[in-house]
Amino acid sequence: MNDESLNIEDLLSNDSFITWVLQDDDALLWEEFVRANPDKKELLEKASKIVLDLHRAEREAVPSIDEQKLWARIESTAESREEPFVPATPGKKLFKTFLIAACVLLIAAFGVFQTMRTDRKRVTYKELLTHAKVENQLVEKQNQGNEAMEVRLEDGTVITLGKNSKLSYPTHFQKQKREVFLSGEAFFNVTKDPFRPFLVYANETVTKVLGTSFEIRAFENSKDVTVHVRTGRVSVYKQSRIQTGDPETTGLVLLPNQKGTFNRDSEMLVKNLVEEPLPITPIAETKKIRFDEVPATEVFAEMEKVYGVQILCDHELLSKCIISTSIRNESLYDNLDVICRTIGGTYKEIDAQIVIDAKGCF
Amino acid sequence: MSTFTRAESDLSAELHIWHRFRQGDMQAFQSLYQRHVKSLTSYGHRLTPDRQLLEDAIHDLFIDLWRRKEHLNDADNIRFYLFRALRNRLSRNGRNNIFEQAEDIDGFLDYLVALSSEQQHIDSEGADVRTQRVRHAVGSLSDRQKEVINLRFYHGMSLDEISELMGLSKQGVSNLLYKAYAVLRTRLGELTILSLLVPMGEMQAWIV
Repeated sequence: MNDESLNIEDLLSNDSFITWVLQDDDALLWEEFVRANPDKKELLEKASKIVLDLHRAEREAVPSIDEQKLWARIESTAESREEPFVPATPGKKLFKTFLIAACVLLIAAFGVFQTMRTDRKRVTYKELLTHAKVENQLVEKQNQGNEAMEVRLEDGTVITLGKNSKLSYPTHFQKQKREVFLSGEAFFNVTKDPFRPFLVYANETVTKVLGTSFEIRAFENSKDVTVHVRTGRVSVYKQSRIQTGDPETTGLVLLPNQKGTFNRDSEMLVKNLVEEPLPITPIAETKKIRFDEVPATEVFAEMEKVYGVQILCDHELLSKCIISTSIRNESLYDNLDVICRTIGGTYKEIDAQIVIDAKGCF
Repeated sequence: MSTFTRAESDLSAELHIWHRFRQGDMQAFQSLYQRHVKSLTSYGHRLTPDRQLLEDAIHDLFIDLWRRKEHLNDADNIRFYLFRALRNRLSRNGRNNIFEQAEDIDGFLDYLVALSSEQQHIDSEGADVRTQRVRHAVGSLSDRQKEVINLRFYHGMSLDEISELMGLSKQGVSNLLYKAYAVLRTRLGELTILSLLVPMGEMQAWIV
């Protein structure tokens, strides 16, 4: 590697060089190399620029597929091939309870241990700002009053800032992206601009959207960061001090009526439905959608559309359940309660989807 | 220092998920999907331009995994395993000629000449525009060149892994990469730093 004739192609053929540029592995090795061969520094920079150029170009080229939908398809195929569920015997149950208790203890102990060392992972609002200030002039709005405060940005985006919350944004956005920084809670109504993604940095998370409305809650001293989606589609991911590849790939895509929660201790991002999933576009005039003597599956299909939430059920079983009901302009759960009572079933939320459990009708 | 621990913990998390998935844990199966679906999409679209076909292949791939979970071994490189499975699946599908077609040198040289005679408008451009230009240039590569560029520069795969995955010798992979560089250089002209790669005259040396 110390060869005088080292050229760009050699570097591009070097696996360790590529991982260094893309994943920051082997950094010590390469930093040492630059120190020992300062005349090669320029060459390394050029080569790494090529790697990054190609990496970015390839990232742009990735087609967007509906990962949620594809997963739902995989899951339902996988489950339809599973063996029937065998109920646990009492003996097993006791053992299970014991196991669970043991786990809870273990987790609690681990939790105590963790709290002693969590602060290192935390990213504060202040830290975010010092980073941003290097590049841009920032304006800060603080809401210390009791009422929500409206902030209007140059691109037409309107942000409703909650109590004890603050927001910083540049006087002028950059050409390629719109970045703002939040501490506390706020509702965002973002103006569409597909060429300039809108990024909200809040604690350790980054929320990226093109144009949509959503709410973020990220107080400095709270345990979680939550993102609720009202309309459109947003992606949430963790930002870390060490940038590796594309952080967005490890994030979540959130759709309306979904909520992403980032636990700041475990650094895990999970997806759920919001507490009160509401119709995406309110059911107006008639106030309800009526069904007369239709299969339950048809009602569920309509509800999927109204709430934008996937409802999984056994089609074969439930298509025999003929019901008359209506979907009213209220929470998804209220409507589900009514229908499940009619067909004698239950439902639960799994991974931001609704799974219906019912024996079917004869 | 921190970079090492991060990489390690990520690897052990991955193995843990793999282990749980093999025991039939649906949630682990889902994490496995979520961790890899983006990479698979990115690699897969270089194997087939047909999005529906790609989605179906990913679906079948995961269903196959789930069905055979008890019979799977410990995998030390799960992404590689999945990539190979996706590639096999799409090649079995046969609708794609990417897998057989050998690169023919004459055709390739003609192609280069045709490219270099194309008019190029070069303005002073920002980073975004440059990315678009590079992307466009990559789009003009042959299917196998695209595949190799994708694996190397998007997924950061080692030459050994690429050669195993694509069923080529290591030298074959290098040749493919060098051809791709030559096309990119011609295509991008003086625009980007990529133009520093292999001047035209030296091409003959490695092309045979």
